[in-house]
Amino acid sequence: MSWTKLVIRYIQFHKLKTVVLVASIFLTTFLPITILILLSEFNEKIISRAQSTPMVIGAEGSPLDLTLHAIYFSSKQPDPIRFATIEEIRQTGWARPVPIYSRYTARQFPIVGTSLDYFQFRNLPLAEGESLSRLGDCVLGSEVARQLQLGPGDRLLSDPENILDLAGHYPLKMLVRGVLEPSSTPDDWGVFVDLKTSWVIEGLGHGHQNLEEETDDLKVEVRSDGTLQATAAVLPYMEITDNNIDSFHFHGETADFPITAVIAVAPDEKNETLLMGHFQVVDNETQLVQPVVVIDELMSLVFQVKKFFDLNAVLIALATLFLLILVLVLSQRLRMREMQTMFKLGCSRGTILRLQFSEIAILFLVSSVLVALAVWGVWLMAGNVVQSLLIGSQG
Amino acid sequence: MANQTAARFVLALILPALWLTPGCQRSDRNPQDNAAFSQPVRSNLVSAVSYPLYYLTGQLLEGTPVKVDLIAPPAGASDQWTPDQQQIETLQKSDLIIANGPGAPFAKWMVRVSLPESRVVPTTDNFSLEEFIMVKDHRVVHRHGPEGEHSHPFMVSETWLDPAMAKKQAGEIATALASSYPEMGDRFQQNLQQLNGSLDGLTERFEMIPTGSVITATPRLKFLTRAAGLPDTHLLWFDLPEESLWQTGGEQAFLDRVKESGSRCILFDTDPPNWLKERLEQLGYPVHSLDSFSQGGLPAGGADFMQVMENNLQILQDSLSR
Repeated sequence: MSWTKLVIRYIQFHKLKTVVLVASIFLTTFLPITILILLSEFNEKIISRAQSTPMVIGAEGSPLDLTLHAIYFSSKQPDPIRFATIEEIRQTGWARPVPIYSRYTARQFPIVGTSLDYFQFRNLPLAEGESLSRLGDCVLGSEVARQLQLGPGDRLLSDPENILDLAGHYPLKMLVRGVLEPSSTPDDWGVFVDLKTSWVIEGLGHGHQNLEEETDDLKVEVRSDGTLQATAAVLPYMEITDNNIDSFHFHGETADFPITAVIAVAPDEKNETLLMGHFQVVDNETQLVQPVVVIDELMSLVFQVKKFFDLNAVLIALATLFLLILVLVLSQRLRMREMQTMFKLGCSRGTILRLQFSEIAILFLVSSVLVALAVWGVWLMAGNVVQSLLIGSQG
Repeated sequence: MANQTAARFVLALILPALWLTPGCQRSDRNPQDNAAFSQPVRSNLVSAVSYPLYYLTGQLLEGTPVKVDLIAPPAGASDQWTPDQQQIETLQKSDLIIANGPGAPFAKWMVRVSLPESRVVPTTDNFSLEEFIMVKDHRVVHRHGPEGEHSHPFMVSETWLDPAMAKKQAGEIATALASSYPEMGDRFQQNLQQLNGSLDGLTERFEMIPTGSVITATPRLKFLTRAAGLPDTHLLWFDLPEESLWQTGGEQAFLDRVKESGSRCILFDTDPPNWLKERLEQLGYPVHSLDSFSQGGLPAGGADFMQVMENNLQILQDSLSR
């Protein structure tokens, strides 16, 4: 019988010991690597999103909240700012502004009110259908379309702000115009509408029903003086259709309407600096942040914390190593008589040492293969897991 | 794909040896990445939302490969017209959308369609506050919200009826064009000088209008009357009076409104119905029709902006000399 067969037979016979040792090596190695992969993925995703968003302007307050809102449409909204800020940026000529107003949701997905420039800025081509055309249209991120099983031509109702508020605004039934190609970014989880459509949801704009054309008796009653009056039997939502779009209009000054953030894109560093100076000097109610700086600060903090986890992992690994040595030494003692027998049978000391090192090597090899398989699985899923964690943590 | 998967597997095998390596690399954004977005691909197409803006833009684009398209309601369309899908697509692919600004909002349909906002050029931005015209709605009183009974003032949109304002708008259009097509900047400047010359000539003609005062059917003609230096009593006949209502108080309301005006002629920017024309003439108020381009579409009869304005001036002069 060759020495390798002896080693395998030994491992097969001491199943419990082998499993415990392999599990110890697997867990002490797999967990820190998983954390490393997830953290790297998190870092890559959040940094690349921040890098692709040069400047964000919003209300004074937490720069992190503003940044996360602008790049992840987080539900923790900063205070609104006036739409006039867009005009202010445009008039400087230093940057191209892209508005964001994300306050409402549709089936729990954020409704992002913006302009057509956003799709160009984020380089978001359509997978199917068309882009936004009119009030009431929406374009879905790929994940929204997949999860809600919606496509061009379908309708999607915005979530009511507060179901107990009877005097609140009606939800808007939106027409799905198109679906974006998957981008592995938060845009996959967004419902994009024109900024003006989000103002309609807000109640700043509305249409009027033509009661003369209304055929439903429940909704119209003829008063004694011959005039028509709408009854309370109205639809529990608003819908913008070919028949009523012409009547939609806004009350008030557009400049005063709300937006929650502005992404400003300057052509070069000089213009970027000028705009930053403008907002530092001129405006006390708004702030300009550079997402890459804010996220770098956040990640520095995260990686400071990670150092503690790393130290913890090192200590656990050391403890496991000592336990491993202890188990092997004790096992050596238990096997003393077995080794003496082998020696008496003519085995050299070298062969006996080789047997023992081979056993340990096989344990490490099996553990490493298992770790590799598990890490491979984690790696494949890390992108989606981190993205859903990032989106989920905002919701 | 298979190679990538295999590479990941191999990396997964060697990662256990590397897991203590810190994973965060600080990275700096390159602002050059945004240059492409800041200067998007051009279609050499510009849209204008009213005929006068279309005319001014067309004059500035003379001799260049850039085309201008007019997106406006057809003759006789309602005020609540919305462009069709094809027109929306034209607007969305235009390099610039020439419009009025918030102080003189024209083309109210713009709020109902999705536009690339950064390409909308508000041509009235260089107007000073006093150059805009705000009209108080003396007729409509209603109640909503906490402020009780009130009426809303509104801004007059037909800025181009004053050639000095049209000149300012032309300047804004030229600036926007030069910014989008910098290589044609010199051409735009030459065309602007030529256009300014024509508009200055028109302004001089306005200065020669005799003194007097006028009554206008709507405030839409206010830029024209202001340019001519004529005191103007405006009516609010956005929807022309109906014959039945005219007989039951409409006529008296009209007489009450115009009695303080020294003028005996009424300027319309639409054709009034015959019964109204006849009745007003019987009352001693002859009717004159001008063109304010308030519909936004092409003028009737193939005339261009300058010809229509010349015609407006002639009618104004005739009405005052009677």
